[in-house]
Amino acid sequence: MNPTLIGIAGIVLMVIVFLTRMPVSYVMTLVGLAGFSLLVSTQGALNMLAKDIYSVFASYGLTTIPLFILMGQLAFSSGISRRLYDTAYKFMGSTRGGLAIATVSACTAFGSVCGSSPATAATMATVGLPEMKRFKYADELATGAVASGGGLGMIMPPSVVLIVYGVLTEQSIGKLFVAGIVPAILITLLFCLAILVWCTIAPQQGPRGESFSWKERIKALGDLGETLLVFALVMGGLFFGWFTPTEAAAVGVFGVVAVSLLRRRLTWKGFVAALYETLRTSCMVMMLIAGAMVFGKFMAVTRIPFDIAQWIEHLNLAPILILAVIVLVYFVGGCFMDSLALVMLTVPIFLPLILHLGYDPIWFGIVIVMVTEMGVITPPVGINVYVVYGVALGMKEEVALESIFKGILPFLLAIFVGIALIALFPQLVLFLPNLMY
Amino acid sequence: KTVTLTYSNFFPPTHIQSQLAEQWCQEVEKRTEGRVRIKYFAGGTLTPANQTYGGVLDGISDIGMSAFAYTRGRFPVMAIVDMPLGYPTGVAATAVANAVQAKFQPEELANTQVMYLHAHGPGIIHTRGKPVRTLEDLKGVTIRSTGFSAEMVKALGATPVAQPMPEAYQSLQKGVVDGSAHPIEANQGWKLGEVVHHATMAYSVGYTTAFFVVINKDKWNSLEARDRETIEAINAQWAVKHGEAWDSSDTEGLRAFFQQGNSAFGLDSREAARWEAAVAPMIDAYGQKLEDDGHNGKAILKAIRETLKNHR
Amino acid sequence: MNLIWKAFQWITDKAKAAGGLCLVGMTVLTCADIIGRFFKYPIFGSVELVTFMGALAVAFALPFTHQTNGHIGVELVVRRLTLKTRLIIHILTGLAGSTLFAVVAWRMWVYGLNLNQAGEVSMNLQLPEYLIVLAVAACFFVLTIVILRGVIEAFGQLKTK
Ligand code: NA
Ligand code: NA
Repeated sequence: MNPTLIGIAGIVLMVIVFLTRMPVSYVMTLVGLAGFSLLVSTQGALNMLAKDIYSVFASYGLTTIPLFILMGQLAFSSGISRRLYDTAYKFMGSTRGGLAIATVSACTAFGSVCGSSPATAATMATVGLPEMKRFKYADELATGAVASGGGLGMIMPPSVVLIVYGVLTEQSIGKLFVAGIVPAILITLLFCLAILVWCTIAPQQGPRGESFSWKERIKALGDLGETLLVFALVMGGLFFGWFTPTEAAAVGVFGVVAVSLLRRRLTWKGFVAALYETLRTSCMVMMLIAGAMVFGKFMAVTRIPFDIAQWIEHLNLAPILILAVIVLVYFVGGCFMDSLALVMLTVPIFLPLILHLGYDPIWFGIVIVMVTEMGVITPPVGINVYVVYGVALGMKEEVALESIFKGILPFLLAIFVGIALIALFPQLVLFLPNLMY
Repeated sequence: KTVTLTYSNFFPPTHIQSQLAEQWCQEVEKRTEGRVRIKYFAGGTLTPANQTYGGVLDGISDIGMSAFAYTRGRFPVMAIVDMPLGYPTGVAATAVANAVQAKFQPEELANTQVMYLHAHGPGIIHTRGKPVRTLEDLKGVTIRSTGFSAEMVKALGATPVAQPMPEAYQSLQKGVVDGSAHPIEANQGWKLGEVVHHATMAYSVGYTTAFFVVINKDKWNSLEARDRETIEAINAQWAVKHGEAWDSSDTEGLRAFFQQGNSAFGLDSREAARWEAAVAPMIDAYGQKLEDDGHNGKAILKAIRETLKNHR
Repeated sequence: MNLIWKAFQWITDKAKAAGGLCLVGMTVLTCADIIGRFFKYPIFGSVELVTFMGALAVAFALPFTHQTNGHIGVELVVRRLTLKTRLIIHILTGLAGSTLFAVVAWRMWVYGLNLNQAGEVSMNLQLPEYLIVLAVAACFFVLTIVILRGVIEAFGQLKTK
């Protein structure tokens, strides 16, 4: 049978089996295994399965995930995140959707030190979800903000996708990082705008709270003293290069424990509960990544991304239309595949085409990252959405999966607008790197 | 009848070593008149670097390219090629790797069919901030390195920090480490030239990393005899091409390195001899370990040094 | 039967505790490494050790995560069905899941044995990584049993209906 047909059948089968409520990660693994054995060999597929799962579990880069989740859990069980949001509320609470805006901005700040998008989503969901619910924010807005905000971790440097892109296309990674800053801020602003518009149309989603005087606000900030110190240590340490992301997470855990013990907020029981909840969430996230990896191998051997890229190469269209088709391919591809695998498979084919059309490779890299950022929140394979859903379940703040998918729509729209702006005004991306190099 | 094979390579698709592998696939298809076709997967999209060899045994891919060093302990004999034996060029290192394999036929490679081997040009120490001109300058300096290069770093008196290559850029950029041991090529290929300042061209202790291209034995034996012959002829040509490509990459890497305003130092003959003496115990110990395990460690080392002499 | 379930419940609980210990270990080792680095004495190979502990933490959490419904699934359709249909679907997906992870456990066990036979060790500390692989395989085996238990319980519910 034709590999392309098997690939499409695999996607359809996966979506159908999703509906049985079988865990999403199990389904991706199962369908990936079946497809790979059809296309390569049963023996090869069985061996690939075990090795892929092990290599995801035993990946140093991914050890940031359990550690940052643990930091978030400890901040939650010792009341640190509660105080953080109380303070944010005093500053932003009187604006409609203000806490969601604060959360999205925090995601960008967190993303500026962490290169992994599920890690950003998981951390921010642990800290932010229960708090936003406490202030009567609707599920859609609260979960949509953290799931989409998590993706900002990928555009905002450092970014794993940008490093891979830089190595693949022989572009300066430093230049790519610098180029990512303005678009990341632009998307953050567009997200905030989306929240404002959304809460104007549906005010019950992010209700306006009371307003506070500046005196009260400054006092609230003062209460955060040592907590801010911990976060400054984590962020500053990463920024100034005292440690790597995994190390920063460990320092964060250590700092949060120290602060909570100092304030006598952390009990042994609370500590153990945080450990177990971290294990549960991490296991869920890692199994999702492993499932996406196995399924991605199947997609790779169908050669569908490869065939589509070659098909576009032979299209006779205006440059801007070709660009639009490429963006569409990444958008659709991101629905079914992990972004790194997709970039690895297709960029080498697209790049000569893009250069031939006269586009700047640095600029194209940023466009790719922005499009793949959508991939982490689009169904059926939208890792951030599942991560946020899982975190919410674990914190007894159950939300419906549909609510989250509904909640990401305004943010998707915002990213589309962002990409359009960057396509129209490439200088938004290029002026900073041109200034610096 | 046509046979379709899969080929897994961890080198990213735009890397010259990956492009050569892809050209090898096309050449095989052309010269076997289409009887052997190859589906090529680069960038570790089929098997990651440390699972490539096992993947060829286990039927995940039929052909695979990766480095011996990524699976430590699996290739005890071939590993000796990676030692800091003072490789001057990639061509020399490639010749050494293929010579060792051809002459000693290590048992560790018996379960696959070797197509050919290749190896990169001299791996050297690059630093940020402080330049390294003598062994004393290495005291207390943390150097990102892996496996044997970490042992070399230690033998030279610096402090090895074990980190894989993909971590190198960020670690150096942020100053998590003071330097890194890598081939000159990586200044361009991994963009490391952007985040280091100095290179110490210690050719007398240049190490290498040997790469293999192997095919599943059953698949190889299922090919027609004339096709096997054709492929073997192509292999002999391609091994040379890979070695030469490593050297042209080193040239590019050096250019990128200097374009960043970085500086490079050579060692005078006295200092070079000191460095060589510093790593000698580590090399001898490994040779002895091979002897103890029943391999001809000393004979292999002798053969390597003779091959190297022809390339000086 | 009851005794078997009890034994596996015990294993599940102990694995959970071991996973928690791994998390603590990762934190402590990483912090020690950072402090050591400031004094120019980093712990060589700490990255490797942290990675292994991370792998074990996730693997140890497998049975308990499944048991406490930690993995997410799409409820959209299923929750509109009758209890009987839901139970039947649950049994079918449970069987598929336990078969899948039985295969994962088996292949991973073989993978571990192969690593050992090939003499492969970890890149920097030269540790016998195959032991970690075998431990992860064992966790997948326990997961298989935990899923099977869910299937058998659902079957019992179906019969009493
Ligand atoms: Na980031
Ligand atoms: Na998606």
